[in-house]
Amino acid sequence: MTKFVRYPYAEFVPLLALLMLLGAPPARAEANDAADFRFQGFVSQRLTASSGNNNFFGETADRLSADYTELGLGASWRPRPQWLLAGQAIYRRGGESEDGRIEPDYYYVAYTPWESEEGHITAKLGKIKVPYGLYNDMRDTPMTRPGILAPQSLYLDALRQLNQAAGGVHLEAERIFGDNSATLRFSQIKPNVRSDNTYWAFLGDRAVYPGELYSRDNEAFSGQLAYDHDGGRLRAWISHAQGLAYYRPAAGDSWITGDLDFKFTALSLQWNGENFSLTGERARNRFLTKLVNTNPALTGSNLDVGYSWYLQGQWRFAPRWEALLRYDAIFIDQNDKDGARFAANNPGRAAWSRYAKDWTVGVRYRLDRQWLLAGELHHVDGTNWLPPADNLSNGQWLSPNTDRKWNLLLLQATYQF
Amino acid sequence: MMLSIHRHILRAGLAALVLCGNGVAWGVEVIVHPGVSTTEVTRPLARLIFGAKVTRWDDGAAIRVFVLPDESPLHHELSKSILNLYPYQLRAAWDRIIYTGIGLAPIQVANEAEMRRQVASVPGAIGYIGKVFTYDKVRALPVR
Repeated sequence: MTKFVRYPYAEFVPLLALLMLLGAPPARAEANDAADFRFQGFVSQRLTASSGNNNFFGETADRLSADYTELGLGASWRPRPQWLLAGQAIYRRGGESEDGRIEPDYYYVAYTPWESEEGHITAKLGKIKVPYGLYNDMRDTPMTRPGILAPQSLYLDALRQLNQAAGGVHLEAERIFGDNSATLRFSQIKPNVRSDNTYWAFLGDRAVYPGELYSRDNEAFSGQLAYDHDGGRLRAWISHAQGLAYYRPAAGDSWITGDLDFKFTALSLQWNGENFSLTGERARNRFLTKLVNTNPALTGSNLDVGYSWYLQGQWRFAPRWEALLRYDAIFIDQNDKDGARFAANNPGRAAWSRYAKDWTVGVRYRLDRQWLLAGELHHVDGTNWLPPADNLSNGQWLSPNTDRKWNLLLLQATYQF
Repeated sequence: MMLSIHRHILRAGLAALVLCGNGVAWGVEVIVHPGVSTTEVTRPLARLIFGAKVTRWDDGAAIRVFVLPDESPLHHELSKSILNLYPYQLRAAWDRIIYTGIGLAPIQVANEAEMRRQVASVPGAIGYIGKVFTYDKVRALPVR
């Protein structure tokens, strides 16, 4: 279940919008409301089948399930050339992980004091998509994802609430040199650490850790340096994101306090030819957990340093058609890639929950600007990105009950406007 | 007599070639609203404008971009020969703008007649049409 989260600064957005409405002169010489206002939306339905015991956003194990639906509705308005107001609401229904609540995807006011063919500077305030890697800020709409699923090793859907969008301030500066450009992005954010999947991924057992996770203002940030050569024919980006989550004890809890420190750094390369695109990204993921118990013997810390990477080819083999081939892998601990040591030290946890190696083949057909049909097949070894909330046994996340090797079939129809 | 006819044909041919240089040949021409103060743009700037990354004219007025459907031959012509981009790159950039709200994506019109009408009537508008003899109520914007 998604819990309500208050974002820092977010309360200023409606106020700014109101000021702009009031401040807009009634008759602007160059005003053209139709040209400066856009509505957009999409609706997408998935059919999912997965093998064995593993459920992927819904009851998908050994059956074809229509449990996953996405719906988005948004608008953008440019009241003056320097100002932009934008927002989108998302409805997502998908098993226990996505409970069908309508939630704000993003909403912000953006101010661009300087813009020319040499570059621009923009500041944003509100709930913002977190820039990380090539796809993080555009992976929650079907049209902008590379495939039905984005590579899960870097863009974990199970932790969407944590890693996709967050309230805060965002600064962007771009310098353009002819057909090439370099962009620097910086965001100070407050991540949402309160989803069930985040709890299961970070703490793991409600009987042992009855408390909950929370985050504080102004402690998380993300930064990105992006170089685009020849209008994006070649891209080389570096991204970093880090944050802190804290443990709030429940009544009578033996755990007094705790914190979880996470840092991700990604390198991205992409080449775009006429009929082929080749993309590779590699990330280093570091998790440091410290938990303090009334019993000093249980107090301790744990450090996991691991990595994720993928290589992806997209082939536009006919007009409107695109084929996808991808290998995607994540290892939570680079010194224990197969999870054997972890499983030995943590009875009741599966070795294969510590990694995932995914081969994907896919195809998509874009009928026109409105319709997109897609299908893809995954063969996965490991369950690291399987959403825990969909795979509970009597309310507990018991990873040994999942299958180590599994297949996933996804079919998707999307209508956008 | 024969010589004279040849001369006429030659002259007509030369005239046609000259007219080609001025925008009569098959191809695509970038057009703007007559009120736009900018008189020409570089190719990198045209890329930025159609990519919706540059959103203001030199004088600070808002740029309003109009485009034809992705599958239209004129759109392909604009992408490849004027902007030197593949149409899918423009589509990816626009989808990103639309669904992450980072700007205003171009407005799609159904055909060239609608394109002319919109660019003629919306201040700050830019679009493109097939090359023609007349620019009724719109102005050509040369891309260097």
